Amino acid sequence: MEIAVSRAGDIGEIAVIRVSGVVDSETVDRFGETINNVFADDCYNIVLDIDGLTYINTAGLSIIADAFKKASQNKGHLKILRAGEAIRELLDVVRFTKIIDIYEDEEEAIGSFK
Amino acid sequence: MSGERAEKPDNFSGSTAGLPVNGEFRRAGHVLDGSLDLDLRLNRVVEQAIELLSADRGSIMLLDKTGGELCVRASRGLKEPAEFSVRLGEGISGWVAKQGTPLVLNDAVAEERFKGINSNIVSALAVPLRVEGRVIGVLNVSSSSKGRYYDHVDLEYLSSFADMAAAAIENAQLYQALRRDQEHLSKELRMASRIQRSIVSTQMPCASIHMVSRLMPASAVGGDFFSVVPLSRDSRFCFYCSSQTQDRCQNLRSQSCPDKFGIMIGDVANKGMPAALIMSVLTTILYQAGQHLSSPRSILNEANAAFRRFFSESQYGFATLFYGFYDNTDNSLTYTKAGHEPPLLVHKRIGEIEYLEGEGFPVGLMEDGCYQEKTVKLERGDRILLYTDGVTGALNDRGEILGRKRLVELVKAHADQDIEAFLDALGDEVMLFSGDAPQPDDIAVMVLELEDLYDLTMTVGTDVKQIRYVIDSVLETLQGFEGLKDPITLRLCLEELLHNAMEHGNRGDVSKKVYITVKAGPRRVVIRVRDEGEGFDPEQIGSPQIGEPTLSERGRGLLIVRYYADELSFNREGNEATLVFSAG
Repeated sequence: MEIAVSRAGDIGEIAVIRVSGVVDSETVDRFGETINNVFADDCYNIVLDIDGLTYINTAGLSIIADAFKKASQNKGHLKILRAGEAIRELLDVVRFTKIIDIYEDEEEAIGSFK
Repeated sequence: MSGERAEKPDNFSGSTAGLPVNGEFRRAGHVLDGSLDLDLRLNRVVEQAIELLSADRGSIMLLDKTGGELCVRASRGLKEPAEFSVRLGEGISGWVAKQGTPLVLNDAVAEERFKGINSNIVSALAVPLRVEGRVIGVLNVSSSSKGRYYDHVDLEYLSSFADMAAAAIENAQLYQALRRDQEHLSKELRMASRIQRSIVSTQMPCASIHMVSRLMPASAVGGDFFSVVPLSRDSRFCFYCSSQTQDRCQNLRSQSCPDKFGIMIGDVANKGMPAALIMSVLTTILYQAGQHLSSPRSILNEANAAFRRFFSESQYGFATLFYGFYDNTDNSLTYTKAGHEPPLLVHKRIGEIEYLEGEGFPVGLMEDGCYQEKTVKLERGDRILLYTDGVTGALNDRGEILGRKRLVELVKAHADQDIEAFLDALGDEVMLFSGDAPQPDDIAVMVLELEDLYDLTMTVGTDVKQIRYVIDSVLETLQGFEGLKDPITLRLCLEELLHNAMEHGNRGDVSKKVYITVKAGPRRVVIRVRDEGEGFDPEQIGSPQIGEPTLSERGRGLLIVRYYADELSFNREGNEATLVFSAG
């Protein structure tokens, strides 16, 4: 798993988290920590770029679900950017796609916070 | 055409100028021989009659089926529509047909009976077409040429030709009727053939058994048959499983037992439709018996009794049969043979061929069939060739039979090919042997192979760090399995089950273990994950309602597994989950 955080928005109020590779039992903790670190910086507007994600286990899905809830509770949003076909199907299966917005375009995703 | 009739024209030599000579008449007869097509023949008769009599027009009217009406069936030069018809006794033709007497008409317009017909006609001849004294129609020719009057010699001449023509027409009519009947019959046979093929079942419930088969009746339908008999997984009828297996079976979604099935091949004495009828009854008996009897021997006893009850009056008094139960759990085949050709068991590892022999009379022959039961074990790659005597009894053009010895040689020669190619090759060899000799008997062949299975058994401690290692090992084992369109599928399911086993089953107790077994054939993967926990009641695990948007973690794992796996079931104790993935 590769994971990186950058800031976007007029005053850097949006965190763009790019995760790629495999989120499984070995990497899922690091995935969770990375997101928690963003929250710890008092940032609750998150774009989760999963373009390069090839696998995510249920624990990883739980982290996304929890992050979505926590962001919403703190008047922020979690949006997903670019899900591959297999991951997209998985998000459908667990019905995340009914709740979390998925964007294909990064600018559009970032602009959606305004 | 008979020589006698061809001679008749001799009487006419020296008659009216312009009449054809003997050779011409004979040729006319030959022309009629050409085709059995009725319309073509009728047209030729008219053409020949016109030519012979130097006429301008001609027609043939045939009596319809009721014999009450004459219809124009072929004509030349007529102005009337082709479907022109008259009632028997009406008009010239009707009169000729009714009286059976030929007519010469000169200055025809004046003739009272010539009502409504072309006023240009100067002279006409109308002769009955007779077969064995019975009138089948009328042949008419007429001329408009001034001064061309037909006389009684012409009439005799045309009558003689009409005798020949009538026989030719009758032949064509009979042929047409025969062909219609035959088409009807062959349509029925084609349907019967389709029905018979639908009786034969080749659905194989067992993942590790690959089966191919061919059914080639000598005619459209036949008395040879084979079938795979699925054994019901309903515990009321399932005598084959331990109670524990039954329990698991019922949690699975498919209806037939995935571990066991019946297999049969048989040959009803005689061929064609009678054999096919008996075959269909016998197949039904064997199917039914498979649902409530627990051994091949008892099934053949029942089939024997039923056969004798149903067909005691029949001259087709018996059938040879081979019936076996295959058990996937220990790769054994328990069988009973009723006078059937012994199937060949090809042992791959030791390269030997074993005849599956066994005592027993053909079904229907004796009150007590004296059936024996035997069991053989299969190893991976072993094949069983089941066949009927149409194979070993195949004849070549020198009248030699293929025989069992030659069959064994052929089997050995092609044993290295995969079973599809193996069966094709056997079929080709039998055809090659027979050459142009017609297939004398029905042929049924089926080949079963216990396929190479991927097999993996792993035991790991309760440590989530082991999960990736287990998954990688399984994925490596299953490389190339076509059922896994996307490894994410299996990975998700397996990870979920391993997590459950460790977290919920063993409750994180590091002293407890998790057992994983993977069995995979080319088209089916079965994965079992067992833990050492106290188990749970699968019924108690709720899943989110269908379509309900949720971020709740509860049941998400099972939701995923149920979505991606083809089957998911738990044992009674709730500490073993079975996942099944099927290709296609």
